[in-house]
Amino acid sequence: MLCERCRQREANIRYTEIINGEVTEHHLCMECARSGDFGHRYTALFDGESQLGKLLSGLLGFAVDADSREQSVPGSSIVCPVCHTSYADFVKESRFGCADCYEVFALLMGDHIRTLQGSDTHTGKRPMKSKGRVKADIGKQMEKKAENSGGNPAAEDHAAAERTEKIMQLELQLKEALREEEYELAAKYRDEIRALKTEEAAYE
Amino acid sequence: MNKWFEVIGKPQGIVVSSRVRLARNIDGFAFPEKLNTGERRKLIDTLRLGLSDLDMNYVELGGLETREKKALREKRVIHSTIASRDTEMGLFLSEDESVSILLAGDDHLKLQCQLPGSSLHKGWDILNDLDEQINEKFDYAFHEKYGYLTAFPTNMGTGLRASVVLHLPLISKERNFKRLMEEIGRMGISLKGVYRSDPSENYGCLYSLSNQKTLGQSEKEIIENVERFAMQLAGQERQAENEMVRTRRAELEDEAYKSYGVLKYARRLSLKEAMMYLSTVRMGIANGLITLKKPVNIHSLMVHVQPGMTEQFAGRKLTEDDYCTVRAQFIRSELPELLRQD
Repeated sequence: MLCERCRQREANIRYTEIINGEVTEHHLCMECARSGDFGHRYTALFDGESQLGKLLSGLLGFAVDADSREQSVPGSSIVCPVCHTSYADFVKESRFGCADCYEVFALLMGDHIRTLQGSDTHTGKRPMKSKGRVKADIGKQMEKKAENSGGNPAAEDHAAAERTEKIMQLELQLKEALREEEYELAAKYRDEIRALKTEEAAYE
Repeated sequence: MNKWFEVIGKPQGIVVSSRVRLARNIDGFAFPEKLNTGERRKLIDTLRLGLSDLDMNYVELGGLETREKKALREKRVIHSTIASRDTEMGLFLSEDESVSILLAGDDHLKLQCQLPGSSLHKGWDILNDLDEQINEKFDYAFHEKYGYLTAFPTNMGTGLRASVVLHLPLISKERNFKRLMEEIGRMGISLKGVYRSDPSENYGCLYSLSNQKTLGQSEKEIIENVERFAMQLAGQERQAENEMVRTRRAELEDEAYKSYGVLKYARRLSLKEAMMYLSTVRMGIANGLITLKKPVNIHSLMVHVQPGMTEQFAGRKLTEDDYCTVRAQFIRSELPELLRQD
């Protein structure tokens, strides 16, 4: 395909613009994209730092098919509860608002992290946890165990089994919801799974 | 004290310099973009206080003149989007400017180490130590699967960007160089002009090679990979230069001397002229085609002729005409005499 601006060079940049929910697709060559008036954000595209980052909006934008162009990006109303970045903001800016956004948007991003990075799992260095924090975490777990220790062990086992079953069921529902692109529902299942898993970890 | 890029006496090979950068965020604050003025101030103050025992100078970027920020960008301490931003940011900078920590840029902390020549491993060792020192004071935002969490998904994981600056006067002029740049890009490595992305406008032929991917590889693997590509490219350039010296020595010598003459005697030099002639002289010196009375660091001159640095040298705001005059004056004073003038 030829570049939509100069109509001479091969278009090697596909860029999906989403403004107020309206999706427009652009095909440009490197030269025109670089000189184009995309506003200051898109000069950054060629400015090293966020080169690939900005292209992510394109990547994620492609999830929108032709029929749903009038609608907003799927899942765009999902908002990070901590910093209030919406999924639509995230797609537009290719930028997380805070550490918690990773959990909130991870499901919606699906394989795009892998497309972008060639991998989805960190294998490098790990930070050390400060002694104070490790202690605090242990303290919390001890408290929870203490609360629970008065109970009957058999009943505990039963509760644990029920929890595991519930998690498995939710995981199935989650997959189903993702397949149907019901992202709001998916996020709800994910939160429930996470809550149950936290509970599980606390009792272990 | 000389800055790291001004050091004289090191061999001026094809590998000009190496830079390692780490993006880190601390627990308890949203990423800088999401902070309001008060929160941002609190973040900067918290970090500054926590890191006050580091042996580094501290400046607030907001308190700097435009030319000072431009000069920092030209010295590759900060990148252009940071230089043009007017939100509050802090900067720790070591005396020789080789190590820096940017506070509240795109991420809470951006640690950086720049060294002359091929020094990625050394740079990484320095940053790794600094990273641990900081981590003793602050808990980092970290995810079991995604590693260090950063504002841009392109930095997540290791948060590491390793880059090497190469001087490629011959192979960058080859017809297929643009294709080479694209091809390298497909292998997860980016090769681009240090001052301009288009090779035909990147006067001075300085190119930076860096990793694009930050997740899934260890820090050492990333560094070794970038190093491997750098050595490959440097080898190609070396071969091309050797071949040229062997077959077209007189021509190269003539170019080196002509360029030296313009640099040494011109009264006005545009950025393009200065960079092109410095590049030719650098290649001439490296290949023994031209010898000066005293050793000189041409790369340092290339940094110093940039607009922000030229304004810094003049100590005032310059007009377009002034730039050329001040630049020529600076080069005349810095460029040593020729050893033989027969």
